[in-house]
Amino acid sequence: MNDQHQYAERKYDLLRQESLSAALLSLPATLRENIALTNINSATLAIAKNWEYDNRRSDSATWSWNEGIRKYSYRHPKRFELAIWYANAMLCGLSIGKPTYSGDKLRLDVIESAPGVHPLKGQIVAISVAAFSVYARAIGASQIRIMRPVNDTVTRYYQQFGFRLFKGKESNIPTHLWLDL
Amino acid sequence: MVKSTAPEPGTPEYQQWLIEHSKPLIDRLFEHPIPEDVAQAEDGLIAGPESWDQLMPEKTIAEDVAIDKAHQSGKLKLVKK
Repeated sequence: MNDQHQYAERKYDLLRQESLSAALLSLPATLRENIALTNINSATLAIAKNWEYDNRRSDSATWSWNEGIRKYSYRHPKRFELAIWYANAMLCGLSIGKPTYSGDKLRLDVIESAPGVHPLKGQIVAISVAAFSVYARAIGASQIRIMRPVNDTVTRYYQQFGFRLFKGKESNIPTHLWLDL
Repeated sequence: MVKSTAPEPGTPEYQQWLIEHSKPLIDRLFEHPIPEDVAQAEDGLIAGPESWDQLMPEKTIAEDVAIDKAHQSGKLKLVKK
């Protein structure tokens, strides 16, 4: 890791921490008092590994958090990563994203809710969008893009909040939802 | 790329600035209880690719450029609610 890379990692790590704290403080009190928002660390990944073997996980989820996150993190010092915990003990959701190439929009690349029943079921997208919107402010991004949403019911619901949907086909423009901040 | 109007990161003023600028959207997101069908649908992967390769710059830069271009041209065909 060269000096420039280390500088970027430190700078954006501070912005990530500030954004996680501000996001938590901005949530309704009933949520704020029961959840924690953190980066994705080794403990998080160990729990997420179990999700891969959970047969309640939807069929479309072949995604493995452990497979590539270290490489992704190294290559994207400006990334935003979010682990959503209930009562500091139960991992309920994970998401990651990064600024777009031009730097003025923020991609939300992956969102996953823990398989099966958990206390934050139904709140993972809202909490993720909340935290990403704070980070978007922190880096000066004016738009959030949720890339490749896979669930139509959830997608329709978030269109009510001003997200617009483009359904991609064979081009290099994948299906995405976007919201101008 | 912090906006010049923002206080210095790491200060209490910065934290307050972030909250002030983010809270209107966050309040809207949590204004009403999430409907049961949406909560039930929020299970497992909600958004994401099939592999990490699709999140690396070799793929995402071209995507970002194409999306920006399409947004600017207004040629994206939107799906209505």
